[in-house]
Amino acid sequence: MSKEELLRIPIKMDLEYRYPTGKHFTHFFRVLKEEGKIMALKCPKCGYVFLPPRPACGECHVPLEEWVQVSDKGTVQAFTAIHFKFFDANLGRVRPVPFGSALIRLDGADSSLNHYLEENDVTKMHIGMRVQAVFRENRQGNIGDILYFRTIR
Amino acid sequence: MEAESPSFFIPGRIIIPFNYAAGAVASRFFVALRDHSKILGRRCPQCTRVIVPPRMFCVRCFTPTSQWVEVKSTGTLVNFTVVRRPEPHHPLKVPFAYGVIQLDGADTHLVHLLGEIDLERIQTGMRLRAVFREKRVGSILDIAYFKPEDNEKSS
Repeated sequence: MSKEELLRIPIKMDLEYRYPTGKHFTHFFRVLKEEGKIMALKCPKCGYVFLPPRPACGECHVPLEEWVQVSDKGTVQAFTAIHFKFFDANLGRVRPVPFGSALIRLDGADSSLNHYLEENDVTKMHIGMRVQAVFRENRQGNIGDILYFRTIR
Repeated sequence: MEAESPSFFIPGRIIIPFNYAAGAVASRFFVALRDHSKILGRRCPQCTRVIVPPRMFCVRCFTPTSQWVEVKSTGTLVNFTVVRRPEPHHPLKVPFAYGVIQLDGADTHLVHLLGEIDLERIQTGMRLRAVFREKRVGSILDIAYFKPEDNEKSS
């Protein structure tokens, strides 16, 4: 053929799903929803406090059962601002950019939680900055119940 | 949440829009389907199989296919399944059937929908005919479905 017509085939994948949170995250989300508290799991052997909660301690290989409440205030361990638009599965749509994202170590926890920051300007972020969780008014039992972490000035 | 509800469920949704570049071989296949309601295959020069839908390479011989061949819009049902559980990505409402079809003149199998068919009486070996859409856009669904050839004779 002298002139080939090359096709582009438009495809729109629309994937809706529900995933069960399992035993540990269900407790975490239930307390978050009903009491507005952030709970973590403590290792009975090494005392490490896991947030997000994990079913077992990766170091000691023991199951975790002791729930401890951690603070809603914490310290930024790492941060970034997102400027590239992408689809947010939790929202079901594209999250408006820019937005700040950080690994946050809440007071009383030994591991870090990945969450959004109120601040979206990286020049105003630093490792060690103090932040506090801002809760949603009508909590539903998912990680969106914490809207973002505001900067403590 | 009550004690009898052991788990929370997190709803999620991901929408992924994209364009798939069909390439030279598949483009020609879709253009022939769209403009002439013809089904094209490619012949392997080594094993002489006619491959439908067409491929640039023969996956058995690792040889580039060399020749366009028109195959018939009739064929034989090789395998099938009846879908009874609804899922959002399905092209039709349940219940409906998928067939694995060997078109006359082809040596490979094509997966497509079966239509105008009694779902309880589908049998491998039955003769089928492609039903083309009136408005064709260059998609595998320009063939609406395959229907039993017997339907035509009886009606």
